[in-house]
Parts: sequence; C-alpha cells; structure tokens
Amino acid sequence: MLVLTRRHGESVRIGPDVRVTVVSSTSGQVRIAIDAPENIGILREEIFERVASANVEAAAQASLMVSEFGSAGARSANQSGGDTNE
Amino acid sequence: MSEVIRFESRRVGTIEVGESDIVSFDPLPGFPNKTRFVVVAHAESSDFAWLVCLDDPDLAFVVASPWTFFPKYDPPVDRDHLAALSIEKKEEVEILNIVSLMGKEIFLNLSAPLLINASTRRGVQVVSDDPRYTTRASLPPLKEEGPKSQSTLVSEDSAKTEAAPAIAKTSSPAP
Repeated sequence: MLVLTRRHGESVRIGPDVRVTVVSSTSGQVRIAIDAPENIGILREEIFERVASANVEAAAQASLMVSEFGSAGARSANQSGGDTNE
Repeated sequence: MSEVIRFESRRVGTIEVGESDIVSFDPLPGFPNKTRFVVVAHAESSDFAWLVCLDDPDLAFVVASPWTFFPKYDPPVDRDHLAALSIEKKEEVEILNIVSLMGKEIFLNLSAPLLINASTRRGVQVVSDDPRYTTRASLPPLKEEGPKSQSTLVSEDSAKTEAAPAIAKTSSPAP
C-alpha cells in the first residue's frame, strides 16, 4: 500500500484518468474531490461493505432455500428463448 | 447455435446452459473473482429464479424481478451503472434483486439490484446508498396465490403449506 502526504489543494493521480484532490481537512475530517471517467464506480467503503455482507448472507442461505426447493427442480437455463438445443 | 455446457452446482444440481446464457458480471461485492453466472428458472411460472455461479459450484443466489413484488420500484441506477454496461436507458436493462431470508420472512435487496444487459450478457450489481431502499425489503404477500405462498419458500412444516414445493409455484391453480 502506498501512503503519502498531501496538503490542501494538492492532488494524486491514479492511472491516467483519475485525480483525487484534497479539498479541505478540518478536525479529523478530510474532504476529497475525485475526477474520474463515468465507467469507474466510486463508493464509500461502508456502502460497499453493506452490500457485500448482504450478498454473503444471501448466498449462505441458498442452501437453506434449496433444501426446501430440492435440486431436482432446477432446469436448463433457457431464458433467451429456448434455442440452445441440438 | 451456442454450445451447451453441463455444470454441477452443489446448490441446484446439474444444469445445462447455453454459452449464450452466460452473463459476465463485474464481481459482486463479497465475491471477488466470481464473474460467470447464469439465470436458471425455478419452475415454469415461478416468481423466483436462481443465479448460479459457474465459477463456484457452491455459489448461487435466489433472485426475483422486483416489480413482481414492488410494482412502484424505481431502481437506484445512475449513469455510471448504465455506462458500465454500455446502456443508455434504464429500460434497456434487465433487473433482478437478490432474495434473502430471516426465519420465514423473505426479503429482496432493493438497494443493490443486479443489472443485466440482455444483448451483451454483461452484468453489474448496483451499490447505492439510496435512502429509499434497504437490503432487506420484506416481500408483500403474493396477490394471485394469497399469503400462504410466501411461507412455502422456507416452510419446515410442509404438511401445513399444501402442495407448493418451496420457491416454485405449483401448476395447480389457486383455489
């Protein structure tokens, strides 16, 4: 991990297209500005973590759901119109 | 005609999928490196489906179309998510939400829908902090089958819950 020090108004480049600028910092809070292309997702870590734990929990429960549902019920995936035969 | 792949899932059993059915997802939060998924129907007219991971026989989710249960759902999708799928309008995207349980209650994760570009078979999971939605939205009772169909997903006492096998709907019409 790279750790570096920046002052108010200074930036960091990540790759050619991403720029992170320290806008201000006061009493333990840092405001940062991020310039990045549209296709790069930017998230607060805790929101990502919340979805991750919801996913992990749901996946763990799949075995519970299957115990009722039974594996025999699973079919071939043919969502796109049933033309995958032969 | 795409090639048919046989896959042994430890969750749903053996499935046969066409190569064109495979959706390439950006790894879902919590599951790095898992990218190839396929949507498998539960049964003919079930409101639920499996999202089976072809990279991990132990990984599968139960998913559902949100509007079956929440007709007014407005997915928290912004331009970034659509751009990631090379899509311009929300309408062009297929949306599924992950199902979870707590006891006998069933929930949909409305705050993190799965988006699939049906034509390119690319998918992403939206990670949003939209205050309107939660990761555990309780499912309202199904209209056409009455509230009982809810409990069939996880019922321990199958005697009480009539014929419906778990998530799959029965083919017999509701009384």
